[in-house]
Amino acid sequence: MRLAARDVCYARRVICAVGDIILETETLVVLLLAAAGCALGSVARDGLVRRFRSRAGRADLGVLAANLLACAVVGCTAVLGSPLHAFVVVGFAGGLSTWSGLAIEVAGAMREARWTRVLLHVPGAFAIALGVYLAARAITGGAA
Amino acid sequence: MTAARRWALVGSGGAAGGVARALLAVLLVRAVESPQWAAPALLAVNLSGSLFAGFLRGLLEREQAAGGAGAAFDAFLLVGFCGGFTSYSGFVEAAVAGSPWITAATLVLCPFAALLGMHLSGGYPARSAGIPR
Repeated sequence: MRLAARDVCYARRVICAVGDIILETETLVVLLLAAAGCALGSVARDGLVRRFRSRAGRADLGVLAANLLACAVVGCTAVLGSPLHAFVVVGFAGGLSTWSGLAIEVAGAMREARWTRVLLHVPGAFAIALGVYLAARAITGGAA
Repeated sequence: MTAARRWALVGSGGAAGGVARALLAVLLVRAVESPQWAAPALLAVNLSGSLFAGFLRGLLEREQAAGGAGAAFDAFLLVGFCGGFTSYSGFVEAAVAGSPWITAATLVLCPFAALLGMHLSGGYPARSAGIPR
């Protein structure tokens, strides 16, 4: 397959735009902080999921616990400034919580026709997470 | 695999996933100059991450069924990268900010995206062999 000159030109412009954004100091700091936070959050989530899997034989409850914890963290830190927001909200909470892990657990439950588990993890988990987020925000005054 | 190696793989995969998500958000804000696109962008991230994770899970099931380990692959790509790339806390934050259609679409489509990914990788037969997820 041969690329048209117009496509090559467009791809080059996109690559240059990404390069420019990465090289801006402020954006670079945000990306580095998000990366560090996300690495920590991911390791914490993995530890939590493995603990639930070994203790209760339920990895899905580990994913649920990680997601709820991340929602509480985001609710508590809604008023943070930019650098801390990048580290805690975009990075740590983003890494601690996961949609892909939850989607895999729900897809697995659908494959095995475990509909109670599907209900727990889709509307149930969303309702609980929403409650946790709003409660954390109200307690720490983030709603103001 | 030692605990330290697993932490390193999950952490580096998570960092890469988090950077990809943050970079996409920055790029989108620059491209459309409107924060209204943040929620649809997060839907795209969560959907594509769920599809990719389902595909990887299917591949891993096939690998395990064939006697392979795939623990490093699981730690770096599935738990690390996909887990860091997608975000449930960001989804809840966007839902509170007020985008009911995006919220409903995420809740319904993400599990089906993972299921589609599993189908595409051909990982289904492993289930009958009793492979733990």
